[in-house]
Amino acid sequence: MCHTLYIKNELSELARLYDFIDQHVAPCIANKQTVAQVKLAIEELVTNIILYAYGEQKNQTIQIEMECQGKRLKITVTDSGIPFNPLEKKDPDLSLSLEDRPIGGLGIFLVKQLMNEVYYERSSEKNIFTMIKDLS
Amino acid sequence: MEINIQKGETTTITLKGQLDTLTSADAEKEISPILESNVKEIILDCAELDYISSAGLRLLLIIQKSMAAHKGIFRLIHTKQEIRDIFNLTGFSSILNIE
Repeated sequence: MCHTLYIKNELSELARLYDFIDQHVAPCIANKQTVAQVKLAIEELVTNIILYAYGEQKNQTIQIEMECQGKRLKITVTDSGIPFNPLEKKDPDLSLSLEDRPIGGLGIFLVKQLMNEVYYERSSEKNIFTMIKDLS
Repeated sequence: MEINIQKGETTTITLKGQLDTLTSADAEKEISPILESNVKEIILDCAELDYISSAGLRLLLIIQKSMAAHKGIFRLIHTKQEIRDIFNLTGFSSILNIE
């Protein structure tokens, strides 16, 4: 089963993303905690793309595709923004004290921690980010 | 998400629902004036907080840093396990006072 959502690069569009997750992603997942983890990973990735992929350009499109393959959930997020591989970003230093902790930098780290597999590809001038969650 | 604030020397903030990118922005607008008022203690009641993303963590970090800067106390109470899991994963367990 496959569903696709197209949103614009505006934070207000996250409301449509949450609805999409509730309607199409959550029903594939038996475990409530897993739903929250997947929702968090998708939110983190898509928020980053909204904020950084298109610079000052408005009204740009982000595609979110979900595919439920029985025991596997595959989410693919595609944008036509600047080339950016989130996986190249260094993990934050979680041992830093309160004074030294920067505000931010956790989004991609959470995606990597919460999903079983993550892949990035740059193809035909698009960033394609794939995340897999094992549902077994 | 619902936010309820009971102001006093100890201010109690109750969050119900989800602290995501959108709701964190709203929550920050409501909480900022409290941080500027140099309140002695802030208690965040998380009994009905179901979900937190990095935007929510960012807000908690802002509150914690602000309170620490003027020697105030910031405590989280009734935190659900799913939220604690995210705190553990991100190292926030050692930065926040979680009960």
